[in-house]
Amino acid sequence: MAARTPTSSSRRKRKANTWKDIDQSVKPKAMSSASERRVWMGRIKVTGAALLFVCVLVAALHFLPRLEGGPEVLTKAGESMPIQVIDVESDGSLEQDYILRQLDVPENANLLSVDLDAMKARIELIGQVRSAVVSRHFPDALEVRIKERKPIVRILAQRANGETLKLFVDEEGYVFESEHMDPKVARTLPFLDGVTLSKEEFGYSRIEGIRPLAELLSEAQTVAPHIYNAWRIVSLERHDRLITKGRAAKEVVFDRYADFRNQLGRLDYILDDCRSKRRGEIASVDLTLEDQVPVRFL
Amino acid sequence: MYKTKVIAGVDIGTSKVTVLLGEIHEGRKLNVIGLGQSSSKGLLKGEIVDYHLASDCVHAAILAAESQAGVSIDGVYLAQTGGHIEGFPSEASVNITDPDGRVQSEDVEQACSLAQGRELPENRTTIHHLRRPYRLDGRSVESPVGMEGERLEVGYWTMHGDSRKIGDAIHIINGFNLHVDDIVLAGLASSAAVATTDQKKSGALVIDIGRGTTDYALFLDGRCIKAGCLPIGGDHISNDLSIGLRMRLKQAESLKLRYGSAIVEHKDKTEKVWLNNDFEIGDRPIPLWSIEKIIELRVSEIFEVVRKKLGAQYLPERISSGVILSGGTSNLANIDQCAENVFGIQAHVGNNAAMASGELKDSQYSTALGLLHYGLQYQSEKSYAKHRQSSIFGRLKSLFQKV
Repeated sequence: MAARTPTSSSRRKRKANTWKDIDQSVKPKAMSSASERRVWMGRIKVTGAALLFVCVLVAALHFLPRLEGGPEVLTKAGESMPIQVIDVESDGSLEQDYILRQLDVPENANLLSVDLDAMKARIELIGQVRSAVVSRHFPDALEVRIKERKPIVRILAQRANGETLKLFVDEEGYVFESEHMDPKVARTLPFLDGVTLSKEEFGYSRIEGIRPLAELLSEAQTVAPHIYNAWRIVSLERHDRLITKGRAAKEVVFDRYADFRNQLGRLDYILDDCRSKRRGEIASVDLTLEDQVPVRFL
Repeated sequence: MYKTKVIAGVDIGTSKVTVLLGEIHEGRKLNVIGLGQSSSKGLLKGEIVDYHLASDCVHAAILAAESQAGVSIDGVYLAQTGGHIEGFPSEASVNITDPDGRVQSEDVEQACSLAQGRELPENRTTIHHLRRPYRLDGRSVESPVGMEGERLEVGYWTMHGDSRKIGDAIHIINGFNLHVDDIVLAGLASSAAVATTDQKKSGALVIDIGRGTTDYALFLDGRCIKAGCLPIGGDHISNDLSIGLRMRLKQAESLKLRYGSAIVEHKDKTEKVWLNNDFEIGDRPIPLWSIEKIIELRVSEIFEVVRKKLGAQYLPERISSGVILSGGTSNLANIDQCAENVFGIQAHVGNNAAMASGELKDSQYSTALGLLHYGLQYQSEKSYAKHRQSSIFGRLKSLFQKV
């Protein structure tokens, strides 16, 4: 049977009964340049709107699970995650075991159940601690960060029962008791004399006017460590003078208000001079006079 | 929530393309917000003869209207005219089957469907079905549902046109990436603007004479019972002058506008006017009587053709509001008197005062304004239908929203 060829009548379009049957799809060839511009503007607008919609949708899909899942994760952690790790870090000599004892974290305590403020307060009750930060690290870690006080002098005191007290003073005049100070550090510190200690509810009253002494000690450690190491006692007994007592010279008097580096330089020169000329043991050196330095020998 | 819709009434005429933009609020209020016009190219007697030229001028007018209004068009109402548009009466009747003898809505639907179902010749497409009043056992009724009777008759005046020519006009609009929501016969559209509801109820004949075509619509009892389009217009008057008085078409057009009258006012045959009125070489005197006589003959002929087309439907005693003239050629002097002479009833030049103010009152905007009127009607019907379809809950919700 021969293949049927399309006749002109079969190619003819279906008769339109009403004008609404007329195809209204846009043929690009039929468009004027003005309408093409309009169509492109329309397409750009539609594409822009679609992109914006997609962006909003993607953002919503990305963040919604987090928003929904967030509180659930926290709840699960609070319900089921006991503290596994306590990470303690200190910038001083306090031992980790001692800090853990002070923290007093119950065994199998939940990370969310522990009172961070109470733990921080307990740590800061240790005199040697200047500040502490206690924080949770999900899912099961507690982090403790400690900054310790840096002592510049020590005080030798006794309790009423005759027991020796190891007290230290930092550069702000804060007096604290410490059994856990690094012995190497403690040994090098001079003793403080000429001050009166008074007890308060949590420790001792602050020592006023210690700032110049802190500066002198810091300067001496930096520029003349051999002189600093020879000092055994530093005294604040006179309000305008700083007095050091030690091996090289029994007593050296510094002017509290004058330049310490200059005074230390002059002292170093005198000590060297005396040592080289074998003038004997020095009883006192007074650096408070501007032009003259009275030196007394034993 | 109601939406605001921007519709465009596009009148592609032989002399110019007019685009009016209307903003429809809440499906019932219309504000005209933009106007765009461009001189027509690629059109002859209301029909497209050069697709690209016609596209360019239509698109330019739409773009101008959009730019003026600063909005984008949502839908287009397109006026249709041209000599290809024809009409025929179609009637159908059904016997009432209800045991109580009352007319059911199914009876009405069946009668309408039978009357509209007449097959058209190839490449013809329906534009409008203009329904006449129903007749129930010979008496004229507006809505027969629920009334007693044995036989229901319905009659339509079906307007149809060449589907390819209508398709061309639609595709020009589609080429601007716009959708044609509805097509309205230009004569019907201009009737909506120049004839009031009362005039239509008391009977009116609206004749819109353009440059290339003449559209007419006859209204009786508030309904359009017959409408049509003739491929003759103002251009033919200029053409007659050009041939009769041996001058160029532009000169004839100018003469028509300067001295034209649809009746002979100046009986003195020696009275003359200058052709170009510049007294230069080529300028010559033309008898005024000749100009007026040629115009009178041609305008009378147009009216007579309209009267002939109306046939038995033209009943002067039922057209109390007379002839209402519209379109650019209606600005011709004494055209109303010429119409009165031909039709034997009163005639006047209409304007759009009922629908518009200011510049838009001019009859050249009648068709575009009428299209917007149709658009508003269509949107209102759609909005009402949507409202009726909504659930009780939806209606209560909208009620509370209004409160």
